[in-house]
Formats: sequence, structure tokens, C-alpha cells
Amino acid sequence: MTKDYFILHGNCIPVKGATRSIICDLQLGKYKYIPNELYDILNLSREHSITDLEEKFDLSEDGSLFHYFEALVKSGYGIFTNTPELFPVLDLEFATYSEVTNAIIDYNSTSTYNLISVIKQLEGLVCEAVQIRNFDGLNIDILEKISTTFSESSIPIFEIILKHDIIVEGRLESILENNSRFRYVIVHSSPVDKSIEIKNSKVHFTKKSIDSSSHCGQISSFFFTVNIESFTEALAYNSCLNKKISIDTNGEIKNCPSFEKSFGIINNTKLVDVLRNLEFKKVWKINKDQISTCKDCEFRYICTDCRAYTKNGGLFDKPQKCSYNPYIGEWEN
Amino acid sequence: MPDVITNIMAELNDQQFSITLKKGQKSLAARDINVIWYRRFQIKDNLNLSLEEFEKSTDSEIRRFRTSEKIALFRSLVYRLEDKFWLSHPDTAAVNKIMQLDIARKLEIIVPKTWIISSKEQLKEVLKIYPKLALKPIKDIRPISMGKKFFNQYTTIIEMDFLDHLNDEPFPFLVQEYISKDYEVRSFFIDDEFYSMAIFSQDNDQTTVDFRRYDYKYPNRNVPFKLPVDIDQKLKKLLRRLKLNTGSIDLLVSGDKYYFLEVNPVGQFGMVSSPCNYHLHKKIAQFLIKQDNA
Ligand code: SF4
Ligand code: SF4
Repeated sequence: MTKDYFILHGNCIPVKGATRSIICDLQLGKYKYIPNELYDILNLSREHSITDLEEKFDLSEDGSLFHYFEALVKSGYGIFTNTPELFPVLDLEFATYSEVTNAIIDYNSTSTYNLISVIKQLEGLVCEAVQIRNFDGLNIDILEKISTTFSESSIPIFEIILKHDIIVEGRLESILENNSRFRYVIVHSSPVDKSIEIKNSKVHFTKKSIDSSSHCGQISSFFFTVNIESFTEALAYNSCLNKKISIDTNGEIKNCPSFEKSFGIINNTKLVDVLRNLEFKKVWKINKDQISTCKDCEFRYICTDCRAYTKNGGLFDKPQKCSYNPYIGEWEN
Repeated sequence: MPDVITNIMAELNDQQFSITLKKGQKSLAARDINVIWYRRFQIKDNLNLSLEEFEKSTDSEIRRFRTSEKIALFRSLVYRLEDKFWLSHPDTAAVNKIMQLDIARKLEIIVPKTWIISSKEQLKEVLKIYPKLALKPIKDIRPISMGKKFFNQYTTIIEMDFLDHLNDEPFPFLVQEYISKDYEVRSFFIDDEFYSMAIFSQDNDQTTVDFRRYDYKYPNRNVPFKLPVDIDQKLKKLLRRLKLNTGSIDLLVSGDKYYFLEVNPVGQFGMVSSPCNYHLHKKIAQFLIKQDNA
């Protein structure tokens, strides 16, 4: 039986950039480059038969379209079918039940706020992932207290970045043995570079010094995430700041520790009250379609974002630490 | 975190029959319940016998007695909650494959030819006409652990050589004609709507028979699917006939034919929801809230 239509699988979504497009395979977590001409054709392929498309795009002669489609079937991105109406495109709505999904908590030796009470508040908000960052050394007692609080909490994912010191290194193993919620531990300013695994945790020792929040905001294809959750979130919301709450080393509650604007000090402001403030949620809605350059980039829904460090310092400018130029389709260094 | 109930207390006197469920300080009286989402029912069974006593005791008899007590307790609870809204009632949830297939057939839904085999001779006759058959349990898959190994009764293809492994009068088992499929469909039904997913698994032998036998190297392609209107209608009729207000239906699609395989009343919906972004957890919650306020 001949099949009249070609369709991309409902979870393989094409995204058009200035010079080329990609198909994001949201099920298998990969993407594939295609020319922009093919993007335009694919956009119509659920409603138009292959023969129709060939005529419309003046490709009847060479049969090249069929070969393109065949290649996409072979690489698992689509199928030939006679019933395209039975294979709808994925519903692209983003929904999570928690009001806050992730938090960055900066805590230095000079910090005086109560870290444990912050973690308890985040647990109450059903936060899914918490990252604690320490730039100048963390007292071992505090580290152990954090670890205990997390292992008793219902927060599933926990990461920590902290400065190397001999006591911490010595105790790390026993701490991680008792707490399986640490996903990542990054030990900076370490004498050596090494990566080890302790129980469920990946531990990276790096010689680099992470001495302030200004190290954040790196953009690279290494951080691209291709899945339904992050894609649908990026379509409608900011891929860094949506549902994020942060506390800087001084205890100021912010969207991100690198931001100027503070929404109160944690000693006398509850996180839940900050979340009621509509002003706080404004940046959550800055999706890539509103950001200059990114809006023309084929990676915009799989890329991370940064609103703190931008090209000209504007809230809607491209991230400063991105070297990709979508207008020539190249990473520039 | 689901709240695990640690205590069930019932009191029956000439005024009332009350049941109270407790967890720590929290308690819930049957009269305050409007809606029940029935998944599975389990009573934690801590036998208060020392291991020695236990081994000496006639193990299976104790177990049988406890099981029958547990079932009776469960039935009493269901009885007390009879006038409430159930998302899947335990009685309707108990219907098995053969019964479902028969009701489906009567509604002119296509079903694979099915046999229950209990003699080698009978199977031989069937295999002569249908050289390939699908072997599956009459009811549910139940993982069985034997030592360190786990056995699941996944659908298996059998051919003539299967007879070699069989004694003359085997324990009854179910076989179906083997359908060479284009893809499988799994449809989750809630609030009068189907949320369907097509599963393309043909490309690798591992999963051709049963997609639950997951192949990590060549994963299946799971995509949103919309049932053709006539199939949608027939399947809704089937669910009504089976008195099911939710369930997960398995179908095979071969050309323009839709073969009904079974409906699982307490089926998994996560495996349909997440690849298709249907947000079924939310939809189920909203549906239950709607019923609670009705
Ligand atoms: S906005 Fe930039 S600096 Fe702030 S958390 Fe996001 S990536 Fe980091
Ligand atoms: S231009 Fe924008 S979307 Fe594209 S890679 Fe850079 S930061 Fe990401």
C-alpha cells in the first residue's frame, strides 16, 4: 500500500533559525539539523500529501523531497502514513504542580541567615531542586547540618558547590554515604582535578576557583536539554528563571543572586510572600522569543538562558556568555 | 507522599456502622469520604510470630486464613463506601480478559481469535491452522521472584516447537492468533475522553511482541495518537458495558483494523501521560475534585 503523507513524529518538533533549522526529538533527547526550506515544507506536511507538496514547492521533477523524507524515516524522526490526522503534534502546554521548582542559595562564611529554615521553607513550597553555592569556605558543622536537613526533607534533588578545604574533603565521603539526595557536589579551588562517585552522587573536584556568583550564566551546546519538560517551559517561560527563587550571600531574596533587585531580606521576609508579589514573577515570562538574537536562533527552546549577564546589559539582550551567532550558524570564539 | 493508613477501625451497633481510617494523628471517617480513587488495596501483614514458630506452623494455612480475613475486611470497607463515587470500582475492576473479549466481540469490536488450552493435542490442532500464536496470562502479569531471578508473564510468541516443552495435560493457558501489527495503541480513559499513544516497536525484535519488554538501545517511538471516531465510540460503549469509568485499553493496529486486546481498569497512565504531555495526573486530580464537589 502506498502512503501519501510524510509526518514528523508528534514529539519531534522542528524549530527554525536564521540560517538553518533543527528537529528536536523530545522523546529521545537529541536534535538534527535540516535546511530552512525543509522546515517550511514540514510545517505543511500534515495537511498536504507528498505529491501536493512537490507541486507547491516546485520539486516534482527531481524526487529530492521523497529522499529527504525517506532519510527522516530512516533516522527515526517520522513516518509515511495515509492517516496523518490520527497522529497529532504533541500538546505543548507546560504544567508543574509546584510554585517553585528550583532554588539557588548562596551561603558564605560571612552569611548570617538561617540556612536550615530556608530549606524547610523550600520543602513547604514543594521545591524540586535546590542548589547551594559557597564561594569562600563552609564550616564542616554547617555542611553536616545541611546534609541532615536535606536527607530528612522531601526535596528530591540537591546540589552543592563549595570551596575545597582539607576537613571537608576528609568528611565528604561519610556525609554522602548517609545522604543519597546530593546529585552533584562541586569542590572548587581544589589542589587537583578529579571526578569520583560516592553512592548516588557525582563529585567533581576542580582547580578552578568559583569565587563569586559571576561565574554563572555560561551558555554552550553542552548545556542544551532536549526533553518535553524543558522545551515546553522554554516555549512560554524563561529557561533559567522560571519558578526559581534565590538568596544571595547577604540573605537578600532575589530572582537570581546576580540580580540587583532584592525582594526583601530572608531574616524577616517569608519566601511564600515574595512569591505572591507579581513583580517577582515578571522575569519568569521572558521567553527566548523576546530576547534579541536568541529569537532567531534554532536552539532557543533547548538552550539555557541568563538574564543577569547580557550583551549590552539590557534585560532583553542576548546572554553575554553565548558565542553562537545564529545569523551565520557558527560558534565564534 | 501518599498517606499510608496505619489503622482501620470499624464499629457496628444498632445505630450505625462506622469505619475510621487513621494515620498518626490524622483520621478519616467513612461518612466524610465522597470520592475514592481505587488503585490497589493492600494490608501490611506483619505476622507476630517468631520465625521458629512460623516455620513450625502450617504456613500455608495461616496465610490462607489471613488472606481470607483481609479480603473480608476489604469487602466490608467497599460495602460501607458503596454509595460513594469510585474511580474504578473494585467489582468492575475484577473482570478478566476472556470476559472483556467476549463483550467486545458482541459490540463488533475486532478481537484476536483466542483459545484457552489445556491439552497438547488441542494446541497442536490450533497451531496447524495458526502457526504463530501469542501466549499470555488470562488475567494480569504478576512478577514472580524465584531466587534472584524475576519472571514476568510477558506476551511470548509460540510455534510448533513449543509442543516439545509441554506435557499432555498442561495447566490451562491462553493463546491468541498472532497479529502482525503496524503499531500498538494504548488509550487511557478519563472523564469521558481517551488519551491515546501509538507505540512503534516493529523495528526491533525485542519489542515486536510486547512493548513492555523494553529495549534500551532501540527504544520504541511513543507518540500522541487520536482514535478514529468509530473506534472511539465503540470503545466508549465497551467501557460503559463493563461499568468502567476509567481504564487503560490496549489495541493493535494492522492496516485499517483495530484489534482490541484488553482493558486494564487500574492501568498505568504515567507511561501514556509523560511521552504525550497529556498531564493526566492533573486531569485525574481535577476530575476527582469535580466529583467531590458534585
Ligand atoms: S540569570 Fe544568569 S546568573 Fe542568574 S541564575 Fe540564571 S544563569 Fe545564573
Ligand atoms: S543565541 Fe541565544 S538561544 Fe542561541 S545559543 Fe545563544 S543563548 Fe542560546
